[in-house]
Amino acid sequence: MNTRHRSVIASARAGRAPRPLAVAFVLAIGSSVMGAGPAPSPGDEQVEQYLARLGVSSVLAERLEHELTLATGEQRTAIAEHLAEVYAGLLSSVGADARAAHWENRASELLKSVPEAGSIELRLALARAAFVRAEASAERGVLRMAPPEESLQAIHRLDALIGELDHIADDANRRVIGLEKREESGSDRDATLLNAALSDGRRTRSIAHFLAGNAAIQVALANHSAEHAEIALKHLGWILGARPDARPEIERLAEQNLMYPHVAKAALAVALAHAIRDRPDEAVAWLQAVRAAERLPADIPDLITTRQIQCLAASGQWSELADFVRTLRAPARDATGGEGDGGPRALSPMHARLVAVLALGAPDMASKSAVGELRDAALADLVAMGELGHVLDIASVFGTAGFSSDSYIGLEVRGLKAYDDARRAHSATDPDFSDPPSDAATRKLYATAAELLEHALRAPGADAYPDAGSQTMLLVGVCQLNAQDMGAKGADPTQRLIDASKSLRDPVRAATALRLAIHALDGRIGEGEGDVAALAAQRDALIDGYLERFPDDAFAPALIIRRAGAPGFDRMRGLTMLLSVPASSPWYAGARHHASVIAFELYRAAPPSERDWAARRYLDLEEPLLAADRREASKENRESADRATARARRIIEASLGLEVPDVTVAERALEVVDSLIALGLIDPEPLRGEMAYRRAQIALHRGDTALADALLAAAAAADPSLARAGDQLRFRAAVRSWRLEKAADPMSESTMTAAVRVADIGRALLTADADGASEEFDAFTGATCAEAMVDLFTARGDRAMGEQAAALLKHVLAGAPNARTELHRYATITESLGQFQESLEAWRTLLAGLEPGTGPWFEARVHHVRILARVDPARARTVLDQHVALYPGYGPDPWGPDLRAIHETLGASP
Amino acid sequence: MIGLVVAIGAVVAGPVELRIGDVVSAPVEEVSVVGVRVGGAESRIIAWDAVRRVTGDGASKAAQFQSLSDDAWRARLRLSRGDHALAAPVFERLYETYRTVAGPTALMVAEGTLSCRLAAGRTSEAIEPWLHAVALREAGDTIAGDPPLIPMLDATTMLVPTLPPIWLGPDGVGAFVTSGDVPSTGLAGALGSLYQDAARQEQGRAAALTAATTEHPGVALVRVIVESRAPDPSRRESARYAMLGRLEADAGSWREAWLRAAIGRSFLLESDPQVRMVGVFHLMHLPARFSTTQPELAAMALALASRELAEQGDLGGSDAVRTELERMFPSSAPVAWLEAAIGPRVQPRAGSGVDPVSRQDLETKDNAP
Repeated sequence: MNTRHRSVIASARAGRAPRPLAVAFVLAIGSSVMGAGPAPSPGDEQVEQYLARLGVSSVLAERLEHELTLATGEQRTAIAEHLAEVYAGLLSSVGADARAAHWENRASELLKSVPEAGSIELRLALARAAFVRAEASAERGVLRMAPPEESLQAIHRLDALIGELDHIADDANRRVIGLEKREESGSDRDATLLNAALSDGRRTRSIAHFLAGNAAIQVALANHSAEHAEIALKHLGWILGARPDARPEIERLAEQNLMYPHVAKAALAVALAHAIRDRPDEAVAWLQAVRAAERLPADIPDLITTRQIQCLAASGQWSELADFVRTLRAPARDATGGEGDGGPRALSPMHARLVAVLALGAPDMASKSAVGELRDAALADLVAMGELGHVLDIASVFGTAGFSSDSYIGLEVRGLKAYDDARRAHSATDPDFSDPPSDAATRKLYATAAELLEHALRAPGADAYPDAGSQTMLLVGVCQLNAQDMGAKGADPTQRLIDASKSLRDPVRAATALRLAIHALDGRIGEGEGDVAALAAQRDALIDGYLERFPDDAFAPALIIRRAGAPGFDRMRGLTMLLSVPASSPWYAGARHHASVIAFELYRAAPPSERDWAARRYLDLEEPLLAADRREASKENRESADRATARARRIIEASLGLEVPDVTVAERALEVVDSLIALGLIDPEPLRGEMAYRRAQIALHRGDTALADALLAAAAAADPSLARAGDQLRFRAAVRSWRLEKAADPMSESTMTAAVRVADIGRALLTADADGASEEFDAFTGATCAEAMVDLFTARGDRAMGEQAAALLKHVLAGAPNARTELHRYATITESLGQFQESLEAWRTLLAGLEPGTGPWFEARVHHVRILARVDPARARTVLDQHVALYPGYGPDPWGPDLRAIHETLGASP
Repeated sequence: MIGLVVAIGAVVAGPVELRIGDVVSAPVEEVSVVGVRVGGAESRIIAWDAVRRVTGDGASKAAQFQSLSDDAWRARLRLSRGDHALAAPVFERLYETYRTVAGPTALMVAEGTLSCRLAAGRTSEAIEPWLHAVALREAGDTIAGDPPLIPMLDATTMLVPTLPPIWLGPDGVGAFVTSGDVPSTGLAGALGSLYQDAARQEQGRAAALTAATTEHPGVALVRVIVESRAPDPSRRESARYAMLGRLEADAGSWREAWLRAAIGRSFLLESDPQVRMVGVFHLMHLPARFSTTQPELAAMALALASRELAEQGDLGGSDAVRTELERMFPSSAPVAWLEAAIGPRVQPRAGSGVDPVSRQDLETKDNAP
C-alpha cells in the first residue's frame, strides 16, 4: 500500500476520539453507506497481497475508488496515488479483453479528476493497455479474423498511440538525463536509490519506444506505408543500440542481446519495416541475424517464420514464399538423415491461416501458380489439423469462386460447409451433440456432407494431402454416424473410422476415430443388426487394439473398465488392466471399484492354497475404497453409505476367512457399519443377524465361547437362516480347541471337557440336520463327533457314549464304506462294546482295502484273527494256516509274533 | 430442558475409584445418571466418564450405570485423541440420554456431541448440543478430569468460534429453524432465539428479534450480526458501523472473522455495485487471513466473492476466486453452492473451430463412485 496514504490515515485515526452513536449517524449522512469510509482496517495489506496473488486487484481498485469518493484533501491525493498504482498493475496484467477497456477508462477518469496522480508509470500503463488491445485487433485484421471496421479502428488507435508513446518516451528521457546529471555530479547521498530511479527511467523509456515502434509497424503493414516503417525504425533503434532517432544498423546489433524477447522482437519488426520499405535484402539480413543467434527466447523461432512469410509477401516475392512454405512442409529428417515418419509436416494453424489469407488476397500481378500452391497447401494443412473453423471462415471471407469445383480442396471446402450446416442444425436441438440428431432433416444434412466429403476423398490430387485425407475420413465417419436413422439402415461409418484411425498421425484424433468406430459398432449391436456375435467380436477386437495402441489415452481406462468387467473376459487379466489405471485418471475411482469387485470374485473362487493371498489382495484394494465411501457417507450421502456397507461386509468376510483371521481389519469394518447405523444412514434391521454372526466369529477367535454362544443365539433370532451356520461355526471352533488340548495332553481333564463340548455341539447339529435343517447327513461332523465320543468312552468308560459313537460311525461308513480311519475306529469301539460280528466285519473290510504285506495290513490281520478266534476258532485257524503258507515267518514285528501266538493258541504246531 | 433430571438416588457409602487411578474416599451421597455425588469437605458430582467403579455399599447401584460410564469414558478418550469418527456414534447414543439431564456428565456429552457434529459438517445440528452446554455452564457445571478436552465454548461469549450464525443459503440451515429444541430462558434462550433469527434470514424470512436485550458480549455480537442483514438499509448501516468499530479491538481473533463475514455479507445486500465490492474486500479477509481457523467461513466468503464478481461482469476475477475456492476447499458445500449460483465451470473445448469430434465421446458409464 502507498505509504503516504497509510501515514495520512494513521495520523487521522490517531487523533480520532470514540464517537457516540448519534455522531455516527451524522457522519453517515455524508456517505452512501456508513462504514465504507477510507480508514484502513487490520490486515488490509495482507488482503491486498492476497488479491494481487489471485489476480483480482479489481476488488481493491473498486474499494479504493469508493474510498476516494469519501475522502478529501491530502487523504484524497494519497488514495488517488495508491489507486493509480493499482490501476497501473491491473493494466499491465490484463490482456486485450473488455475488462482492459473498463480499467483503461477508469484510469483515464482518475487522471482527469486527480491529475496529480498521473505518474509517468500510469500513463505508460494506460498506453500499453490501449496498445495491447489495438495490436490484437490489428493482428486479427492481418489474419482476416476481425471485421474490417474493427481493424481500421485499431489501426487509427495505434497511429494515435505512436504520438502518445513518443511523449511518454520524451518525458522518460528527460527524467533519465536529469538523473544522469545528478549521478555525474555525485550530489546524491544515496547512490542505490539513484541507480534504481535511473534504471526505472531507462526501462520506461525503452518500453515506450518499443511500443511506439510496434504500433508504427502495424500501421505500416496495414497501409503499406513506408513513412510509418521509417517511424518504426527510429523508435526500434532505441532498443537495438542505434544513435538517438537513427535507424538501427545491423552491424551494431549485439547477438547476445537477442536472448531478450523485446530485442529479438524489435529486430524482427525491423526486418518487416525494411520489407515494407521495399528493401528485401535488408529484411533478409535482419531475419538471418536473428535466426543465426545461438540463444533465443522460446517463442521467437515461431515469430521468425511469421515475419519471413510477411516480409516475402510484403515485398511481392510470391515464388520465394512458395519455396519457403515448401521447405517448412518438407518431411522432417530423422537423426540419421532419413525421412522420419515419411509424412509431410504441416504449417502451424496460425501460419497456415496467414499463408492462406495472403495467397487469397494476393495482387493480380502475383504468380498464379505460386499463389494457388500456397492456398491449397495452407488449406489442406488446416483440414489435416482439424481446424475446420478456419477453413470455413476463410471460405466465407473470400468466397469459393476461386476454387476449382472438381479439385480436392474445392470439394473439401464444399463438404465442410455442408458439414457446418449439419452441425448448426444439430446444435439447435442438442447443443452438446450428445446423440445423433432426432430429426430426419438434420440427418439428411449429415448424409449430404458425408457424400461431398467422400467425393473430395476421390478427387484428383487428394493423394497429395494424405493427412488432410485422413481427417476427411474421420469427418465422413462422424457424418455417417450422425446420419444414421435409428430404424433404417444407413451407410456404415465403421470402416471409414477404422481407416481414419489407421492413417491419422495425430494420436488424439486417431484414438477418437477408433473410439467412434467402437461406438458405431455398439449402435449396430444394440440394434441387433446383422451377425451380432461377429460384430461384438469385431468391437472387442477394436477395444483390445485401442488399449494396445493408446494405453495412456484419457479414455483408455473407461474401455478397460468396460472390457475387464465383460462376461467371459479373463478376470485375472481384467484385474491387472484395472490396476494399471493411473491415479491421475478421472476413471481411477471407477477402475479401483471394479478391480475390488473382481478381486473379491477371485478370492471366493480361489483354491484353498491361494485363498489367503487372494483375500489379502482384495483387502488391500477394498480398504481405501471403504474409507473413501465412509467419508462421503458422513455428508449424509446414502448411496455412499450403502456402498460402504457392502464393502464393509465383504471385507469382514474376507478378513475372517483368512487362515489366521485378521480381526483388526474386521473390527474396523464393523465400526464403519456401526457408525453408519448410528448416523441413521442405513437400516440396521437387515444386518442385525449378520453383524451378530460376525462378532461371534471374532469372539470365538479370541476364545470367548460364552459371548460367541450369546451372539450366535442373537444372530439366529434375528435371521433364522443363520442358525445352522452358527452351529457349524461353534462346532468348528470347539473342534479346533479340542484338538489343541488333545495335542498337548490327550487324557487331561481339559481335553475331556473340550471333547464333551464337541460331542454336545456335534450331536445337536446332527439332530437339527435330522430334523430337517439339512437334507444330507454331515459325515465330517458325524466322524469328528464320534471321535470325541470314542475318546470319552476310552477315558471314562461311558458306555452310552461308546454306543452313540458306534452308531454315528456306522452312519458315516454307510456313506463312505472304505474310510480307513472310521473303519478302524468302528472296529475298535464295537469290539470294546462286545459287538464282535460288527467289529470283525469292519476289520475284514479294512483288510480288503489295504495293500497286502504292508504294516497296516499285518496290524489289521492281527485284530481280525484275534476277534475271529473268539467268534469262530476253527475258521481263525484256517485263516492263519493260509497266512503262514504265504508268510512263513508270520510277518514283521510287532505283528508277526502276535499272529504266531494266536496261531499256537489255536493249536498250531510251533 | 434441564428440568427432567433422571435420578436413581440413594445415600450410600463407599470409596469411588477414578479412571486415572485415584480413589475418592469421601462418602457417596447419591448415585444417578447425573454422576456420583460425594459429600465431605469437597462435595461435588463426579462425572461418569471419570468413574471406574464404586465399591462398598454403592457398588450395586453404580453397576446399573457401568455400561454408560464405559461409553462416556470411551467417547471422551476417542475425542481427546481427535478420533471424531469413532467418538461420534457413542456420543450420539449418550446424547439421547443426556439431552435433558444436568450435571458434569451431561456437559461432557453435550460438548462432545457438539464437537463431533461440527467435525462432520453437521453445523445446524450442532446448535442444539451447544445451547444445552451453554445452559449447563450457565448453571455452573464444568468438565473436570482427564484426558483434557479442547474447550468448545469461548469463555467470555459462550459462543463456539466455528459455529457462527452465518450460513450459505437456506440449505445450510437445516431443520434448526423449525426445531423446538431451543431453550427459552437465560443466556442459552437469548442465543438460541438469535440463531433462529439468523436462520430465518437465511431462508428469506424476517427475523423476529425477540431475544431479550442484554449486555452479555455473546448476545451482543450475535445480535449485531443478525441486525446487519435486516431488511431496513438504515439498520444494516448502523450494524455495520458498530461492527467496523470493533474490528481493531478484535483484530486477528475468531470474532474478527465473524465480523468480516457479516460486514461483507451485509454490504452485498446493497444496490450500489461499488459498495458491494467493498463487501467483497471484507469477505476476502477470510481466505487471506482466517483460512485455517475458520475454513467454513473462508470457503463461504470465496463463493460469495466469486458470485459477486461474476454478477459485476468480472468473469476473470470470478474464475480466479472460484479456482482458489476449489483448490483450498475441494468438495466443500460452497463449491456446489457456487456451481448452482453461477453455473458449471465452462470447460475449454478441444481445437478452435467447429470440429466436434472430441465432444462425441463414448458414453461408457460407470456406476462406481
